[in-house]
Amino acid sequence: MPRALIDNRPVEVPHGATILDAARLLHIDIPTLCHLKDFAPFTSCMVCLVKIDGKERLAPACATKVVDGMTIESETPEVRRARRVALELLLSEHAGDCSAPCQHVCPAHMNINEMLRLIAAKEFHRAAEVVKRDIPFPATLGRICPELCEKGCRRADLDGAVSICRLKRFVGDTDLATHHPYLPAKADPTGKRIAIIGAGPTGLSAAWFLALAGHAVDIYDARSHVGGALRSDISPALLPVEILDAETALLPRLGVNFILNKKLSSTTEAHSAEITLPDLQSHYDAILMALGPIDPATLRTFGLETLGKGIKIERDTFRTNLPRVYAAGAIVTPYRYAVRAVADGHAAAKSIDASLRCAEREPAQFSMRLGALPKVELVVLAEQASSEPRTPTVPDRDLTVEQAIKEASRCIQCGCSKGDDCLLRHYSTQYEVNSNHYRGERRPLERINTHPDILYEPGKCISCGRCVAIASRAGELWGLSMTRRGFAVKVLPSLGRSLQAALQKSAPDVIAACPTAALAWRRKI
Amino acid sequence: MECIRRGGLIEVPMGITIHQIVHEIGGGVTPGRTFKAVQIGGPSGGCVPASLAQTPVDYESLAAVGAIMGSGGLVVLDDRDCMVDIARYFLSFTQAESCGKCTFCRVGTKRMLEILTRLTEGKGRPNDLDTLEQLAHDVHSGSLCGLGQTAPNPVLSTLKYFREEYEAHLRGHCPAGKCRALIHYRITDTCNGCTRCAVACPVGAIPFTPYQLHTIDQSKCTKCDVCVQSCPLNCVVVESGPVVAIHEEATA
Repeated sequence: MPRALIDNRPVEVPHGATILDAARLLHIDIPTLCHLKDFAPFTSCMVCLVKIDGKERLAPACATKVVDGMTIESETPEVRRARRVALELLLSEHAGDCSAPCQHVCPAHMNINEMLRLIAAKEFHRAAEVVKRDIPFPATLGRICPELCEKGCRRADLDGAVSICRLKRFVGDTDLATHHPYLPAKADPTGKRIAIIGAGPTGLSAAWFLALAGHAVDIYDARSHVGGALRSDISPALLPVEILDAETALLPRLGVNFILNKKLSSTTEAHSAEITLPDLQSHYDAILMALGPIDPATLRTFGLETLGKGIKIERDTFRTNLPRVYAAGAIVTPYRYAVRAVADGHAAAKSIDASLRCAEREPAQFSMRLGALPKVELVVLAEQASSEPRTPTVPDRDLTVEQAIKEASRCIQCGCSKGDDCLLRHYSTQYEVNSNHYRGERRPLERINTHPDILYEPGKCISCGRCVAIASRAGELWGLSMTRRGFAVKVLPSLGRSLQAALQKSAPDVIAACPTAALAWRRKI
Repeated sequence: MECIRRGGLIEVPMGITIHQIVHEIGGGVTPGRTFKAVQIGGPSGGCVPASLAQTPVDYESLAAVGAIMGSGGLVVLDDRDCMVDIARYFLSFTQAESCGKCTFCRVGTKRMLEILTRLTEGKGRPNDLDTLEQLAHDVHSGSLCGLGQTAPNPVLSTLKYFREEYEAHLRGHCPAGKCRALIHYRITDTCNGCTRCAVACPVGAIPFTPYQLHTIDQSKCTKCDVCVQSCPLNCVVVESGPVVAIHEEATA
């Protein structure tokens, strides 16, 4: 039986086995997009390239048979680079966004597509779940947010952006009106204790996410009430106190402890109405400073390094120069929008949580962004959305249920349905690709809507051939074919048939095998 | 191209040099032109510059200088042939012939062609040459079949021997005077106002001004070369570089 070395590890394989088979025996992960178990290799994606000693060109592991005495390297810089180039070339053809532009523009990166889809389906409670994954206080923010998301809405170029902000407020208000506002499930207690100084939007947001992660959270504030700038800087006509109270009241239900009327002091001797940093450092595993804007000279009296108008932090981790002390929000960089404070609090919470669990830093998830689209492509995307124009809104009058459903149905759902399930995105994240490297002509943006259950988006296809092979082996009468050639190659039902006729028995297998969202189930609630 | 005086089908022993083929058998290039390079092996082949004309034509010697024998096609190039345009021309062929199965050839050759097209249109970007060269190596290394593996050859060999021509295109200048977007036609002041060019111009870009220096309206000129051919005094020249710069020179 042939013997080989992969990354200096010996392996013996049956005759006819490929380098990919051998690597899998050694639990070496070689990325593949077009390889399909128990099918002959198609060798199209070329993401599985490896280096064989003595050969000038790299070889596709899925199709190269192991020869006795072969020495193979699967993780050299040359190999990793080539795989990244293959991914970047595939992405340069790709006609699809991983997330909709509204989600990118939103500082909190809320999954707006999903919220709107659930509202349109009258699933308001599930919509609240989606919103609270990223925005803990939707009714509050829905009254003060400057609708940054709507500036990114693609529908704006057709007949007016979707009223995302008002719809989020609708979700928040509806949730509060149930008198059992949605509270996510908490993780198991970690035994770690965290002190947050400042009960404003940043601190409250960080408290929410840290408590959900299972940590014990105490929030300190010099004032006698909770809310910080949300209470003191915003007129009650705009943000009624009852709304802010009702939403912040969820925090104690998550186990968050408020310690009010306690001022942070820089002196070593603090009296009972004061706390000091050294004191907190000795009692807590981590401290988050979220007091809002403070004069840098004052900050320095605490021993903190400053930068510009605020505390100097390590950008990715939110750490200050003091051990176990983090900072986020306007105390770092003054800004205008509460939603940014909320987003900052969330990001700081993630960093603190990761460091307390000693978790390794994961690479930032890759996101494909097409940018602005020509009108003709927007019309294609909007085909299945409601064609109603934007619902006119009145500042003091809430949306009715009918209005909310009607407006939410206008969303053209330009984000991808397989955002978390896509193999191409998974490897693009792993190999830290730059999708702008090879910008040029891409596939046309297209949605084939003829099948009741399946959405076919040829623009997202990577020509891997899996669907063609599966349909063929299943004995489909028509099946799918690779049509045309070269850059214009396109998978279509054979001989002009409909997708339904082409996939009469193998649709579930084909959809499960598609490595992107080219062939995917329609999103149904 | 097509500048060799005696072209055709020849049968010669292996080991004959490029110089012998071009000059002794082919009779050299058209008088007034300079022999620049030969392209051997067509779209899968590479170019060999005139400076290496002593290279014998055999498999190993050609491979050593970055060319291939291929099917034995040999194109003679002179100073009016643009090497960037030659590379673009051959790549447009291989790109159209790509079957589309493997990523590096399907997308890689398309991207290379886009870069080359941009260069010939004077729209090159600063890192285009590095991207082009690296992509050429990647396409060669990662393609499934001979088409993708050899499509980058004209690009790599012209980059190797004529890189300064590529760099000139980045600056908006086509030294061979070939790339239409980068050249303009100009009537020099040896013109005697005979009006033949004005009559011959198919798009009316040269106003009829008898006995006076004729001028070409650049906004109408299609660079068809008819004025050059009609002028009895050879006073129409092809120049390269941004037109704006030329005018600035004239008024300085």
